[in-house]
Amino acid sequence: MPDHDRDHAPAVETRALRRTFAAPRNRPGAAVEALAGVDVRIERGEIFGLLGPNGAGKTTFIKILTTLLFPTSGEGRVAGHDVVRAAGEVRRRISLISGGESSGYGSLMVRECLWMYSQFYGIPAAIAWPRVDELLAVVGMTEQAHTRINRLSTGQRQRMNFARGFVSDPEVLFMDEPTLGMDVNAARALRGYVARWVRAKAGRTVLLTTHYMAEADELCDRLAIIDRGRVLACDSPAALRRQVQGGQHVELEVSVREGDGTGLPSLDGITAAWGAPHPERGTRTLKFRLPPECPLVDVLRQLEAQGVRVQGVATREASLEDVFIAVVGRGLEDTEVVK
Amino acid sequence: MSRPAVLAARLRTAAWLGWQIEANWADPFTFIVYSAVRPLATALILAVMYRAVAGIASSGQAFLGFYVANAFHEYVIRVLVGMGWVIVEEREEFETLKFVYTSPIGMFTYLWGRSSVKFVQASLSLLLILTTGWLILGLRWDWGAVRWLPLLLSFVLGLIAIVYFGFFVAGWALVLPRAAISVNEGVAAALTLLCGVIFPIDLLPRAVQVVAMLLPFTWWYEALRRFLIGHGASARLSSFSDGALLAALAVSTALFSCVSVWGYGVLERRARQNGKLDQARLF
Ligand SMILES: Nc1ncnc2c1ncn2[C@@H]1O[C@H](COP(=O)(O)OP(=O)(O)OP(=O)(O)O)[C@@H](O)[C@H]1O
Ligand SMILES: [Mg+2]
Repeated sequence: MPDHDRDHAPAVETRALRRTFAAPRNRPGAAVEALAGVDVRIERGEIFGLLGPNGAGKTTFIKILTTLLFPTSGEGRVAGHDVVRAAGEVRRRISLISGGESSGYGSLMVRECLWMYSQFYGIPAAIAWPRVDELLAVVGMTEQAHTRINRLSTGQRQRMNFARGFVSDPEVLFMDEPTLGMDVNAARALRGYVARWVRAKAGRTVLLTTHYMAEADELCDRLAIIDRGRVLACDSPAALRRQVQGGQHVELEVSVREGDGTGLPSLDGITAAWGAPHPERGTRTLKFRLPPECPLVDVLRQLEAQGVRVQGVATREASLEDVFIAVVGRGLEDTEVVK
Repeated sequence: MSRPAVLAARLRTAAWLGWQIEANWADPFTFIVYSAVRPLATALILAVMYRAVAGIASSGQAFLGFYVANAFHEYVIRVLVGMGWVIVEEREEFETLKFVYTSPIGMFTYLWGRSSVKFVQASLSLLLILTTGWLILGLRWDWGAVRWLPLLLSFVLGLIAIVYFGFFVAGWALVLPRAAISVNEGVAAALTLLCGVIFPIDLLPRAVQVVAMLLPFTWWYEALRRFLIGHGASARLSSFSDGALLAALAVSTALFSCVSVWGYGVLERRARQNGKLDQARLF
């Protein structure tokens, strides 16, 4: 690809990207297909989210695009550069933040550690130092600037790693569950920063994975819902929500019989999923979308016939979670589903 | 920034990081023990062994050659073996390898910079061992007869061989589980035996001698001895002229470096294929 084409190339583009992991030698079995042919195109300036349950392939996708892992087949490009053949060009333009990680060189001080990474990227000192100090303020660690990393709490280390992702002012920023395990306020503040950062300069792009619906909804311009290595839906959160609009979203609080807490009741024409349990009341939430042609009383009768006691009823607007249930066939926290 | 300026900044930063990690000034006792006591003990054991077992005390000149080579062997122990440990440490202790690897610094620049502290440590150990030999064991040579230029040249060539072989060792560290990485230490031991550090290669079986002569380190130790103390240790190698010795060192270093870079590339691709670059625990 000639250079002038690359300048207009999408931030990320994958074609039929596949990755299988061989079964371990000591535990032979089927190979795991972590990515089963993923086609994604992310334009510059987008915040793009990957939403999917555990083991969906999100981290694998990010690892391939950040040059940590080879794909089994297919193609991945970052800013027009092939992640396999032009890894060096890719590395110059990206950075990676992994949430839930508290890694770091224990004997360094926070501020000098961030500065060190800026030097790996060749950022001139006159730009690097002010940027480091600004990022320390963003993650609320100005006071810890001269603290050694081995004296930091887990959450503080995580926030430092978050700041590290920005010191090089990357073209494409990859974030794998960036707010995992952070307290609510810290997570909200950092989400706000990501949104401002992307808008502040043309061409900055973010690819993030998350388990949190609210994070995806609030932050992402577009979302791909991914399960078992396949993209099942890809659109803006609003457009995805529109797909499941019509009908009502119903949450029932139902009593769970002893020793029978997991089996889902079967309902005609409805895909239901378990929501949060309420052990203190011995109940669980049952969620489903009620099709327009199906009256709620019918459903309640069916449940009654199956011996399920309904203790409360609520209806609400379509949420991303409903999209997720409709597309993936199960809730994010749940594992079972009936049709 | 210009390209050379960026490279310089990267090297400087990696070197600085090496110092921060290695030279733990908060705990100078450990640092001194590690830099001085271990190498000194090794050298003294060597001296005692020679006097007791071989009775070569009579031929003090031969022993001087081994003592000197053993002192230079510190570079192999620290720099070469250390490059493998950098990888293990980064991946499993600090869990930072993936962030370094996905940055544009490049592993060669990074490892090179990180090992500079080990180079300084090895140099300190070398001076300490030679000074002890000089003052306490009476292992001396004629400073007037030292041939500085070829000495310096061969010293630098050997360092190049060590650094490149270090890349290879680092490549192994990328794909091997932690327990197997004591293989790194084995490399230093194998080189001690193969390359005529503490006994002449003439004592090795003939086939093994050929292997030894393919390794740049064999020529390195011989050249260091010849140009510093005035004589080599091996009858076989002493038939080579100074020029031939330097040429053999240069050629074997060049070949060895190419093989090492190739080997590192193969191993790194394997690590990337198997997803080992970001695993904190390999097994
Ligand atoms: N190094 C590996 N060796 C073998 N299998 C692997 C390896 N890495 C990932 N897998 C498998 O690939 C699949 C996808 O894993 P991946 O880590 O990409 O999921 P994820 O979407 O990030 O999940 P999570 O939400 O739990 O982080 C899983 O089934 C996992 O077991
Ligand atoms: Mg993951």
